[in-house]
Amino acid sequence: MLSSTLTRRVVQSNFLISHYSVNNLFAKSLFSREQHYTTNVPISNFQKSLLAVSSAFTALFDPSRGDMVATLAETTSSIFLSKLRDEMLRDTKGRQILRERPIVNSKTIDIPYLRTLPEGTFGKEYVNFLDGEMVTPDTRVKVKYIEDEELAYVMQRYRECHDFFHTLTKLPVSVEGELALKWFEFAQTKLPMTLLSSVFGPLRLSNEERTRLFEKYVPWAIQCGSQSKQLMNVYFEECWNKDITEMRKELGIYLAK
Amino acid sequence: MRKLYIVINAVIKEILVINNVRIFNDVLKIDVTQNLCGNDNLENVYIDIDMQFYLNIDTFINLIFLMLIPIGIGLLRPLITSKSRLKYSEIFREFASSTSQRTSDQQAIKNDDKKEPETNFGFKYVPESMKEKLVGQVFTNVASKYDVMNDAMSLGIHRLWKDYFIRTMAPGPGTKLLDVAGGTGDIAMGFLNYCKEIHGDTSAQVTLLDINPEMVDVGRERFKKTPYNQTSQIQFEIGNAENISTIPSNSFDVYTIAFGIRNCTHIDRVLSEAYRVLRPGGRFMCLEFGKVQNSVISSIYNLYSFQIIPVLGQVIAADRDSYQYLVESIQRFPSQDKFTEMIKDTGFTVTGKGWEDLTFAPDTEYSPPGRRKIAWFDIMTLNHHLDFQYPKQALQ
Repeated sequence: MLSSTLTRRVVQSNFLISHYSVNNLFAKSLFSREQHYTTNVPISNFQKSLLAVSSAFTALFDPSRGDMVATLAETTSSIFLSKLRDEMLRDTKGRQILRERPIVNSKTIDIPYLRTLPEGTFGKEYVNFLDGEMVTPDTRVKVKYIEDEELAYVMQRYRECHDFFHTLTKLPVSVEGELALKWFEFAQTKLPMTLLSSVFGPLRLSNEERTRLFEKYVPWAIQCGSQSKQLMNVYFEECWNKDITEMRKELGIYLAK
Repeated sequence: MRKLYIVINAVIKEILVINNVRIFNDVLKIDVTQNLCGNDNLENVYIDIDMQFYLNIDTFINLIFLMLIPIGIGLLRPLITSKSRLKYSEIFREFASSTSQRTSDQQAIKNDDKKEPETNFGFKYVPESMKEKLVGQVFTNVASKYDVMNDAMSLGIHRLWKDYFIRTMAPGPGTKLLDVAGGTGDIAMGFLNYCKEIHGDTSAQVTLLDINPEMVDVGRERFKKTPYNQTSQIQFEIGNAENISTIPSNSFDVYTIAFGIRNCTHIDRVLSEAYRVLRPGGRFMCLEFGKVQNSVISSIYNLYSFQIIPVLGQVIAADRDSYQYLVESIQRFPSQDKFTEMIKDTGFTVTGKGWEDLTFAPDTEYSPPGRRKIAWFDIMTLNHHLDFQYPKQALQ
């Protein structure tokens, strides 16, 4: 066995020579690919499919594993995320979002300032939601398994806007509320993960919660979600001062009765 | 490989023709004319333009096989590639990590004149002082799910290895064991159980030494449920295997290190400490992942290690990187021969070959007498355990 420095040298030169001449599927599928963005973890398609299946089951049986839901979203999105990105490209604001790539976390959003806003504005409602449910915008899992960096940003934006959707639709952070919002997001974004969560999530509810969900919330979610404006195209960071009822009217969102 | 593909393609199409599935295809046209007419001149024979499927049970079965064969080839392709390609991948395996190996290599070139020597952390290179910290983080993260993950990754086989390890140790009554990198206490527990059940002995003692407090805590919790709790039979210590300052020299009969030595920064220092701490006639035993001899099994093993184990880590323990480090560190560990050399250099006397492959062992032409009882492990090996001892007379 060579010493570590020698190994490194030999291995480097071999890598440089052979990196450009290896064509076999084995190397391409199993070995390291380039990182496209900082949090990217490039894995083979076989691993992605394994992850998709196992994360689906894990998320179903252990709902506290938010990272598994995130992984499921990333591994199953593929073409649907591209469609969502294309929809964003068709809108002016969507294009601006993709150009500027705003990130939502407690550093980029001035939460103390939002608290000073008058009641009834979008910013104030958002802060009330965060304080009331005791959540912060920092808890979102980073995107890891999507190769294209623009699509990774779209996925990241989708995750970060989840709290904004809560504010607009006024749904609570309970299991029922989350499921109703998942149905809403399915109608909006059409990602497979939203469909899977919407279909298999209610299995964890009690009977009466399930009936209430499917009688009251799901019809609302589908109808409201499909006819409202694409919320991924809304530049939420510019809307802090807007009156929330006006904003809902503009976007075509009505609250669930 | 391409020839194999072509042959199989031809066979599939022959099967299709036999079952009356007609597809318009240039290649098929030529194949069929050759098969049916046996005459190369009939190039203009037209088979059919539209696809017609006669759906009888034979076509159905053949279509299933048709789909399975490419999938099978796709899966088995790494195994049936030529030997030179496999050798290639041996070098490549150095880079099969999900982190950007290239950038770290380039950094390594630039930092060549740095004072601190570098050591390997999986497939990455890190300064030596960092490795201990990084390994510490890895084990702190996985401590709570360590036993579950062991069972999941090895499909429970790790219990067989550890039981065999202790049976080979065959401790007598009153043996003092130092279990280094003992972690959650599998070997320590097995040792105490063995002495109790085989010899009815309760004077055996084990000191469980580990560098990571979280792992030792998990071990303590496990021992609380056993009859050894609060007895003098088990003692827990936090310490570094490279420098066991709290333990006097020549004080233990057996020193074991199971699946721990590859995580140590300086293996030679660990071996010197082992030499110091063991009494003359004492025994050094190490259970570790070695190199698989058979190249076909090695490819399957690599596939399993690099594709499935990180996914298991992600799903069960919510920590992919720790298990990526684990499989990379297995690849980095020296081979059985090299490790034996290192042990001999420390001053130990090696009896016999010095090691034994447990799972995925290479096939032996003959089996020496006395190995028959462990024949069931000879089928395949993955691990080997290293057993080095002083001349046997000293033990009796």
